[in-house]
Amino acid sequence: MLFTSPAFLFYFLPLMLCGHWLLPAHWRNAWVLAASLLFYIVGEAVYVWVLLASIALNYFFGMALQRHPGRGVLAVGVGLNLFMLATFKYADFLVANINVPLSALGLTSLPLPHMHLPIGISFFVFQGISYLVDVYRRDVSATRSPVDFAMYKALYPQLIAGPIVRYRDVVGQIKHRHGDWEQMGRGARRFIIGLGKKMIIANTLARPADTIFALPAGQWTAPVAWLGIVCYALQIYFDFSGYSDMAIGLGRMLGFTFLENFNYPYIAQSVGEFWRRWHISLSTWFRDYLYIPLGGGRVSPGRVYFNLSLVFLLCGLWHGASWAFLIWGGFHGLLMVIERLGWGRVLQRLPRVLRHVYLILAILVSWVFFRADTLSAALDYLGAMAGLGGLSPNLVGFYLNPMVKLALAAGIIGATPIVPLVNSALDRPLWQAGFGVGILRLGALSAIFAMCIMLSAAQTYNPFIYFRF
Amino acid sequence: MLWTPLLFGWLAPRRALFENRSLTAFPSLPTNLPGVLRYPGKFANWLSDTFPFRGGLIQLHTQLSGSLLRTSPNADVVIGKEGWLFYAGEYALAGWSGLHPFDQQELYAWRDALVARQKALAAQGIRYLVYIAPDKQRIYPEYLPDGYRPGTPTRLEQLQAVLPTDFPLLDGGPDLLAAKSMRRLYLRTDSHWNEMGAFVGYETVITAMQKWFGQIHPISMGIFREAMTTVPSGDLSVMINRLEQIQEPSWFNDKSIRFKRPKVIDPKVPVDIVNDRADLETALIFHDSFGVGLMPFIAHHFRHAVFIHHKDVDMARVQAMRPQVVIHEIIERRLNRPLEKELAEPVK
Repeated sequence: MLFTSPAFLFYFLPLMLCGHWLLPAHWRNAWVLAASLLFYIVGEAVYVWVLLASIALNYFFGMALQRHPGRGVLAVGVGLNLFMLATFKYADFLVANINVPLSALGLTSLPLPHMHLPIGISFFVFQGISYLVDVYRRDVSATRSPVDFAMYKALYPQLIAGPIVRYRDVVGQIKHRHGDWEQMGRGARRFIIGLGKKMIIANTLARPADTIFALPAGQWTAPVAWLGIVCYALQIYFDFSGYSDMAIGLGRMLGFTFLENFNYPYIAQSVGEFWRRWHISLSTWFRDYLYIPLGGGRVSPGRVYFNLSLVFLLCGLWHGASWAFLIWGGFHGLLMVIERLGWGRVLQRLPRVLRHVYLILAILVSWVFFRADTLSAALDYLGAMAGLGGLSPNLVGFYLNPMVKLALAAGIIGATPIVPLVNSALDRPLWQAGFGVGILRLGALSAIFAMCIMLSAAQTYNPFIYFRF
Repeated sequence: MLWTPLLFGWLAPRRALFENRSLTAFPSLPTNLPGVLRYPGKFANWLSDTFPFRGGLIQLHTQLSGSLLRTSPNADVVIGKEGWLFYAGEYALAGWSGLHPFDQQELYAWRDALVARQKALAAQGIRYLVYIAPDKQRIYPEYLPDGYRPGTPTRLEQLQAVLPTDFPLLDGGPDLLAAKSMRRLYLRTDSHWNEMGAFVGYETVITAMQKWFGQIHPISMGIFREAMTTVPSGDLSVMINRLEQIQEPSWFNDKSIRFKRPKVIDPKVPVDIVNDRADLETALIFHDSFGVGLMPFIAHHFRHAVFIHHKDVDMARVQAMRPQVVIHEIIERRLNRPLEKELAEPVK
């Protein structure tokens, strides 16, 4: 089930919230667990067993680590988690790559397993690993309650698209949550903002981005290529951060406070800073559970660079099972290393605007690898951005309807902290218009929500048109 | 707002939308465990089609998108000037802008497939003619929004360049462009041509066939008189849920010629038109939705004309009927689709 679907907005969410707050406190976790499993079953049906298996695996290994905090137990628990992820997400990729040398040697290729990829598996496997490691490190005690643990793992706001919520950050809230109208209001506000980011900006910019990236290589002129990658950069940011906002808002409506997942990454002035602002729950996961155990920044410089490169390669692979994602991750790792090798010091001496330009260019180039269908297409696209593309007539206007122009403008403004700065400025006593500002905010949120509801309904309109045959 | 459909939905009038499909039925109860696990998904799909206020919300979205933002609520429909709508799906507009050319492999595959059909039919003494019905934007580009430009090469241009010079591929574009100053040839809110557009297409086909059958001549357009009538808006309007009654030119013939028209058009059922006083014997016409308008005019020249709504030449039907000529009508945007979806019949 998607947060943007009518079934979620008009049925699941109001009934779920109502049940949660009307039930006695000791029933709430069971209610949230049941609702979360139902949420997952709507999308994955019989594959809910994968989630249930992950819950059981981490619950029992957590209990085992609590009693016997041995590295062996931890290794087996983490290994089983990774095995689950590898089986469902990487089996086809592994087999396809094994077949390459087999074919070259004239041997019979292995059949592709065509595994179904359960939605959210990358998130809930990493969540499970963080739980086991935190229990092992004694950062948190394992819970004995299967219901509490299952609810934590299956918690629907963060189940399919993060943020990766660590048990130690929410353990108190699992046991005791309070709710008041102000909290509900803040949660609703955050949810609506996320919904607007996803449905109004991200979905609108997806269309020109998809159309442009689907063009044959010879059709990519420089203006069209730049338009395509800017649309994609904004699409992926507003899509992902929009989902995170919705998750945080939904969590707040249930009494949970999740950590922030995005902090205006496109205003960063280096790739290092970008990763402190982009998908924070993932970057901190890799920092705490891979980079630091490998030695972090406390080892020799050469080893640090190796660790950084490995972490980012694996980060790329986490995003998808293909060489394109590996290259994307490797590209970021390379830039991180280069910044440590001295480029970072050079950057610091440059004017601030140039640091921003450097970061934007670096990120846009990296998104080309992330989005293009193949490595060859990515290289052709980059060539087009550099002015080496086709000689087709400039048809940028083809992709720019009024809605796309509006979404681009809103996206560029929204990618910076201008809106929250203006928002907090309006609260200053200078304006002496507190009530009026409140009405303005309420009106804006209501308008965003109304528009999203219309868009959600419009997505279900699917007429059968005779002419398509 | 979230509670409104649940609490007040039973009060909401059901606003009918013309979707031309059966809405998802209420799922029947499951009888086994996998069925139980699939049931919530089916139930959610049913909710998506039937939740209260759905019709009103969709119509409100259509009106606001179109009037405030001048943007179509459906990415496959472009709102043009003066109420004209254009189909953008299946790369129709991208292809017209030269943004979706064939790669070498597919271009030659199309060429080879069409030539193979011609040879297979010629081996049986049957003439073959391919008529490409132009997409609307090629004939009426002036009604597209600013920013849309024609480009080259289009897929049709590429195909024309590689086919043998004597291959009977007819491009309907030039004749339609020449005729548009006299009559409106396409429907404003529909992706199709109107009766006059179909008539011009028919003229192109019959004129081309004169090199084989010298005795045929196209009927004069002068037998038709035009009148404005109120009709429901077209398929593109349905796609953006903008259903309205609009004024469109219609044509009425002076009854000097009585055309035989099918009473019912069902894509699954061949249309068989028999005409005792015709010049020629038999024709088999394979067509898509554009071919419907051609039926009465082309059939006028044949004692027996069979129209089959099918993308490709069906060699089994050709064997059964042994017509004098096979006419293969293809709307231009179908060249954007993969060859194996369009010309899938095995031809030896």
